[in-house]
Order: sequence, then C-alpha cells, then structure tokens
Amino acid sequence: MSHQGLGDFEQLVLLAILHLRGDAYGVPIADEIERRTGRAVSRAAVYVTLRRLEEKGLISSWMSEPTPERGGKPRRCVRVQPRGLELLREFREAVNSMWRGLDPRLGGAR
Amino acid sequence: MKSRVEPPRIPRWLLARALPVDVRQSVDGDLLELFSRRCAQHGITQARLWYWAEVASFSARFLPERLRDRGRRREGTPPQRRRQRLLVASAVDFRLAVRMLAKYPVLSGVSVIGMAVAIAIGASVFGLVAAVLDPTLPLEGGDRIVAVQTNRADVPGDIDRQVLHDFVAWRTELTRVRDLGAFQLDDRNLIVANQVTGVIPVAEMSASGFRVGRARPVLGRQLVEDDERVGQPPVLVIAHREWQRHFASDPNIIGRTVQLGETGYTVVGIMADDFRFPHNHGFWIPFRVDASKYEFGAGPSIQVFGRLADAVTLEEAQAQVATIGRRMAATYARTHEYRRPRILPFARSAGLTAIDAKDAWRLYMIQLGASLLLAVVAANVAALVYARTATRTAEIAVRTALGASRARVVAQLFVEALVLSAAAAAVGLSLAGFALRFVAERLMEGPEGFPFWFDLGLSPALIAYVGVLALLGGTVVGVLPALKATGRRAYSSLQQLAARDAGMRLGPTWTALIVAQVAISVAILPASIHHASALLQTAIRNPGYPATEFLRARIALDHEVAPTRAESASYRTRFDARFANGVDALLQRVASEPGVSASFVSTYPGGEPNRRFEIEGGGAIGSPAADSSGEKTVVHATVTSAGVGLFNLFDAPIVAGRGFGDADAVEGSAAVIVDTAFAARIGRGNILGRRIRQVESRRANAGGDEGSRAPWLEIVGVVADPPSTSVDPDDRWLPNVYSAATPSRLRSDGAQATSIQLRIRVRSGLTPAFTRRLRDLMAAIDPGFQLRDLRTDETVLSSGVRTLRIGALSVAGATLSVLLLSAAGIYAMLSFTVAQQRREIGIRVALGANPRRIMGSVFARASAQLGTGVAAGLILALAFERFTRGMVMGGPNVDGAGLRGPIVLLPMVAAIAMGVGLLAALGPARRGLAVQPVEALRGD
Repeated sequence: MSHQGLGDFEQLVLLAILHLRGDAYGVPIADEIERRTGRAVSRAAVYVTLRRLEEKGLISSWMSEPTPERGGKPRRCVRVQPRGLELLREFREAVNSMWRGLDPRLGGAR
Repeated sequence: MKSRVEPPRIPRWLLARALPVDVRQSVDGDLLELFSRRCAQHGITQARLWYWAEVASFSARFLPERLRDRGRRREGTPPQRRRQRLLVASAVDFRLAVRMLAKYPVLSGVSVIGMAVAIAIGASVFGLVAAVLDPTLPLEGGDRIVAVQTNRADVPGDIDRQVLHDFVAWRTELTRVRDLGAFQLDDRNLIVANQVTGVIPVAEMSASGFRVGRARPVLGRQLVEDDERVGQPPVLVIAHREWQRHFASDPNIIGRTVQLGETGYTVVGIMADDFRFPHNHGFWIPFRVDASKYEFGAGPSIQVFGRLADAVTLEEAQAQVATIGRRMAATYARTHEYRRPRILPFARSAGLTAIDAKDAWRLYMIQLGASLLLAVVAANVAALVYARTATRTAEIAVRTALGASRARVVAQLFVEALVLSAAAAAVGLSLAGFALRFVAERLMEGPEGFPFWFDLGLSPALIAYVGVLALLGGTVVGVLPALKATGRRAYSSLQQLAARDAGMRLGPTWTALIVAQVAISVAILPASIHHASALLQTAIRNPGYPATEFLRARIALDHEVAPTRAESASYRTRFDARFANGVDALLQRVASEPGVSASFVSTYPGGEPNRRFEIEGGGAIGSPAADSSGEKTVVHATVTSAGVGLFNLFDAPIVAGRGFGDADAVEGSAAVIVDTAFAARIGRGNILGRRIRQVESRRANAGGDEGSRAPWLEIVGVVADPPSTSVDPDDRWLPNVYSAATPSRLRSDGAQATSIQLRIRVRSGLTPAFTRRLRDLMAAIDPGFQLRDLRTDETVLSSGVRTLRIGALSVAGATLSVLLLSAAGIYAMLSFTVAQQRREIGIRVALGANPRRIMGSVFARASAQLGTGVAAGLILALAFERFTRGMVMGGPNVDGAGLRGPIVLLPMVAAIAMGVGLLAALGPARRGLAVQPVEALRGD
C-alpha cells in the first residue's frame, strides 16, 4: 500500500495521537505537536486535519462524557486505526530508504 | 460563589455558525477549556482577544470544509453538480479575497475602518430604535400583557392616572382582560437594623401582577389577594438580588420585619431575579387603596394592567374598554366626559418605549439615514476598489480569454468585496456592542433606571441587520466596480495588453465621481468637524472650582398615605410645614458640623432650564444669547431659586449691588441677582434696578395677553459666575438668574412637588463617615426624610464629561473615517486619472512638448475637477447652514463652543480636498514626464 495522500501535517497529528496514547483530543494534540516540534500550530488546522483523517479511515473518534469545566460540552477523543499505523510505517520506511547513503554527507550538517 | 467567565458572545455565536455540525460541540468545548486556561494565565482581556483570533482562524479554515460538505451532499444530478463546482470555486475565491486584503493593506485598512464606523453607527441606531419601537416583555406570554390607560380627549397626549373608580368598574366589566390589577410607584427609605441604607423604589401592586408575570417565588410566597384587604398586616416581597444586597442572603428572611419609611413590613417571599414587573422593581407591597374613601373620579395616581383573555385580540379588548368608557362618560359626565380609556401592550405604557405610532416614523427616518450612511461610505470604498480593479484589467482579460465567464469574474470580485465588508461588519458589530452597553449603563445611572424590557443587547435581529448591511456594503463595493471592469469596453481591447499601461478608460463617470466625492466632503465635513470640536472643548473644560468639596443630594419626604379628598388641603399644609421645618432644621444641623456649610437650591422651577426673559427698556443689540422677538429683547437664561447662603457657599463674589438677605426670601419679594453673563446681555451702564420678567413661549406670547405675564423682577446684584454643574453644553453657555427662597416657599410654588436639592460644602470631601452622619442627622430630625442621589459635583461632572467625551470621540471617529475615506478616494481617483494620461504625456514629450506646459495642462484638468467639486460642496454647505439657521456649522448665533462657523471650516475643508487632489496628481504626472519617449511610443 502506498503512503501517498498522507501530508506532513497529517503525519504530525497521527504521531501526536500515538504519543498521547488514550488521552488524545484536540487540545493536547496541538500542545503535543508544539512541544515536540517547537513550532506554533494553528488549532483550527489540527481540527480540520482530524476531520480529514477520520474521513480517510485513518483514525476513529468517540465522544467523552460532558464536563462542567467545558461548559457541559463533551470531548471528541481519537485513536489511530490500523490503516493509519500502516501508512505511518510505510512512510517511515520510504523516508529511511531515501536517507540511506546520505548520512555520512549530511551528518556534519546536523 | 463566583461564576465562571464566559468567552465573548458574538464570536461564540459566529463560531457555532461557521463550524460543521459534527465538530461544533467538541471545538466549542475545547475552546472553552483553553479560554479558561488563558483567563487564569493572562487575564480576561487577553483571553477575549485570543478567542476572537481563534474564531477567525477556525471560521476561515472550516469554510472550505463546509462548502465541500455541501457540495458533496448535493452531488448527483447535473445542475447540482454545477452548483457544487461553483461552490468549491467560491471557496477558492474566499481564499483569494483574503490574500487581496493582505496585499493592499492601506486600501483594506481605510475601507474596513470607514465601513466599520458606518456599520457601527447603523447598528447602534438599529439597536436603539428596535428597543424603543419593538419592545417585548421578557416574561412568559409577555406580548399578551397589557396596560389600560386613560387619555384625556381635551388635552392631547395627557394621561389621566386618577382612575381608581374606573379600575373598580373595569375589574367587574372588562371581561376580555383577566388578572386586572393596579400599581402605584413610590420611593421609600429602606431601614435595616435601625440604619437607613438608602432610598429604594417600591411597587405597591395588586397580587395579580405576579400572576400576570407568571412568576414563582424562590422562597416563601408571592403576594395574594388577601394581603390587599384593609386591616391585614403589612407584608413585603423582595427580589433575590435585593435579598443578597441588603440582607446578605439571610436564610431566615421570611417572617423578618423590614422598615420601609415609617411602616414595618413582614417579608413573606423572595422572587427570582427575572421578575422585575412593573418597571424595574425589587420590592413589592400590596396595593391597598380603599376606593370608597375617595370622591368619584379622584384618588391616588395609579396604573392598571392585565393579561388578554385566551383567544382575545387587543382590538377586541380595546372595543370593550371603549364601550365601558363611553357608558361612564355618559353616566358621570362631570368627571368622565373627556376620559378615553384604551388598551395597549404593557411594554408601550411607560418609559422610553411609550412612543406614539405617529412619532415612530421619525425614528425610522433616523434609522434609514444611519443605514444610508453606509451606502455613502460604501460608494466611496467602491471608488477605491474600482481604482484598484482598473489596475487588474490585464488579469481579468487573461482569465476571460482562458474561458472564465463574466459572471465568474464578477463573482470573484464580489467575494473580495464581501470579505472586506464582513471584516468591517465584525469590527462594526463590536463597536456597536460597546456603544449600546455604554448607553445602557448611562440610562441605568438615571434615578429610575430604565424599564426591565428595554433591552440594548446584541439581539439576533441586530446581528442579522448587520449581516444585511455587510451584504449591502459588499454589493455596492464589489458588484458595481466589477460590472464596470468586465464591461464590453474592457474586453474589446485585449490587444492593449501589449501596452505597458493597459487599463480601463476612465470616462465621464469617473469625472462625475471625483466631483461628487469632493462636493460631499466639502459639504458634510465642516459640520462634523464643528460638532466634534465643540464637544471636545466642553469635555475638557476645567470646572473652575473644587468640585470634590461640593455635594449635592435630593431631599424628599415619605408620603405613604395618599390623602382622601376631604383631608387633602389640611394634609398638604401639614406636609409642607413638616417638610420646610425639617429642611430648616437639617440645614442648621449640617452647618454646625465642623468644616461644613450648606444651602439648598431648586433647580429649574417650572421644569425648564431654558427660560426667556424680557428686559424692560430693551437690552444690548446683537448679543449672542439675545434675540429680538417683536419689539422686545429676549434673553435666554437658567433660573435658580436658592437659599440666601448659596453664593457664600461657592465663594462667588458679588461684583455689583448686594447679595441676598433674609427679606429677599419671603413671598412677594421681587429681588433677583443675575450673573455677569446675564449682565453682559443687558448692555452697558448700570444694570442695578433694571427690571426683567419671564415671558412665555413665542406661541403663547403671540396673543399678547398682558394678564398672563409673570411679574416684573428687580435686579439687585450681580454675581461673578457661580459654578454651574450642568454638563449639557447648551445649558453651560446660558446666563443665570437667581432668586432667594425658603424651603416652604419653594414647595408652595409647586415648583418642586416632592423634593429639593441640598448643596453642601465639605472641606474634606465626601467620605462614607460623612454620608452616615448625614443620614443619621436626617433620621433624627424626621425619619420620613429621604436622601437621594448623594454625589459630589466631581462625580456628576466626570460622569457628564465621560458621556460628552464618548460623544465627541464617536463624532470625531466618524469624521476622521469620512475624512480618511474622502482623502483616499480623491487621491486614488485623481492618481488613476493622471496615470491614464502617462502614455499621452510620454508621447507629447517625445514630440518635443515643453514639460512645464504638460504639467500645467495636467494640473489644469485636475484643478477643474476639484474646483467644480469644491464649488458644488460650498453651495451645498451654505444651503444646509442657511436651512438649519446655523445649527450645522455653529453660525453666528451660537456662542463660544466649537470652531467659529463656516468662515473657518469651509475654506479649511476645501483646502484639504484641493491639496489632497493636487498631491495625488503630482506623482503620476512626474512619472509620466520621466517616461522615455521610445518606451511611450512602443505601445502603438
């Protein structure tokens, strides 16, 4: 299977979900990406991406119990589906194969 | 417990509409969570700004998603697929439009500011007009709650409230209105734990008022019919908020006795805060008036209400009450001949919302004017956008050549304009929200607050109105230039693309636009500049005396029991004596306090600040506040009756004649003291001994009925400008006339029926200790005394100044935005006109023309356009000025405030318009001269 159709940001979001394990929803996902990559993330972009990933069947979501500190609004929690995991692995292999042989030359620059 | 801080309502509402249904709840929840976090970390203001920014980001990101969803839902049949293509294409247009906004920041900024101010003005006016004209009671079935009001056929506009016996008759005969009840309004001292805590408005109301409002008590019970029977113990129901405020939410409040004025009431219930019937009340006592004690047709002043019976219309109820009214008029002709009872929605019965349908059209006209303002501004922005579009002809032509339809190109330009006006609408809506909140706060500061149904919030109707305004603005700004830019003429010259200066021809329309633009600026701007500067000057004026030392308070006396007819005269005499003695005693006691002196004044006896005085033998001709009315000279002035010590209180020196003595305060005394401003109106020479008298309005005076004139008054002294604390700029410039009085004389004049104003000077300023001391002194003299609105002059002035400053800033903001737009419009138009001639200039240079002559011809053309506009504007402005008799620009008959009239303002604005226009022509003309002849010729 090809990893085509998985954008850079989609990968970041999928990886953040995996890092967060069972506690992934919009707020911590954006925080996690910011914390790990050190770059500012548009929260709106995270939500749009989550919606697209779900449409592609790469993640699934469910609603948590509403809580008073969120004005009685539930969280939309997400988890990565097997197909999402598979695409991530493929992407990693592709990247690794592209890097192979370049390490000595780019090593100094890193 | 402190409630959680909510994010701003408008962006939250917008967000709900911008997001697809499936993510709406979760995103809203996530943003709430982040908002709370931000509030804790950075404070509420920063959190609110952040929330706005996030909503903008979410709306922009999800818009293509929503359009895509919609397109997908409609996929299937060919026409729908076409629409889907259009929609998806529109999403791209939106993105392009946002980029265009960013690409031309100055144009976008000027356009958004101009339109935002216009939208804010339109929306604020809409909010006010809607609240006044379309009031709804925020109670269950509030639209069926009615008032029964009795008009006087002999005095148009007069409402007769002495309708106690009518009310008794209606209660049995008016079957189409049920739960008929009555109330009277009163102010009482609230005494808690033997301490007067303040004066509160009390509604003495029938128990049916609670049924009409379908209110439920949160504690205890509401009033019942039994409470209304004479002889029952006095009971009281309190609103939840008052219970919290005055009784610290005492859980044992039910059964506790609370003193209202002279009577102790047992608290029987606490009502929820949403019940404020009848006006804005939080204390209710039973309506307990025995009609049999009053002569027929007399009685206390009451107001009657009820709820329309099921399936009965207002007209049917009206017909029934009119029939009853006619019968009573026939039976009791002496008292009821002119009484005309009618039924009207309760929300229309009181306060600001009691407006006649006849007057409604005025408000609609104001609203129409405010809406049209946007059309004018939008036309300006359209000119700017048109000028920008002119530079994009090449792009449009290429797109057309590649197969884009005219509709497609127009749609793209329309979307660009829509994004511009949507941004302006968002800013305008926020500004309107601030303005309306400010107005509501000012109204709330008034002595009676305002009716609970007067809602100045951002209603869905208001938001929809702003949406319509934005659409209107977008249409004017986008569609007109787009149609022009994609017209046949623009396409016919595709070959012009080869030429460097390819563009639209700017024909006679363009010249007309420039002329109109300049004319409107010159005609309208002077008025705005004048009013803004007048307001600002008033707002920054120093009071000129230590305003923090001076206190003012209204003093009134409880009159809990309305006298019956037989008791009326003796009751009034007793009441007057009690009031006068009490005030005298109070003044003495207050003055004996260390560092305190006191006096009293009755402001505006007769109810009007602006009185007209006739001067015996005539006054100075041509003085600004004097006008010649017939053969007499009339001076407008403010009249104040005051205690003899008033001038000492303010250290206001008597510059001529003498001050007041006790003899001047007795009834029949004709002595008055005028201020130097008034003396100046009378003219040179000794004014002591001159006589003046009040005259009625022009209409009343036209009959020349000598017998109805006021008596002559003799000027015995001139005081050097005692401080005026009026903040109305028109009042401030009025001269003053003072007469001496005693408290009892003021009351017997009938000038101040229920209260007078106390003026106290406390060297140490107003402290809580002094307020307590004053209340204690009053309570010791007479427990029925009410101390209302105790404030320092500083507070009064600064509150007035704040209002003026906001007013001035609004006018200045609107003026600046118009000025900015006009300047930008004129600049853009002329700059593009001259840019059009660049090639022509280059060719003329190539053919050996003198550059100076070329520049001359360019400027001559620009000057002709500008000059025509300025001339038209001047004519318009002078016509306005003449038509409104100098009110527009503060002509010669307005004294002091503002820049001096048309002489200064008109040339100033004309010079700005000419300057901006010529500056705009200079750049392109110079660039034209710099074009190499070869390059200029290459296009052909």
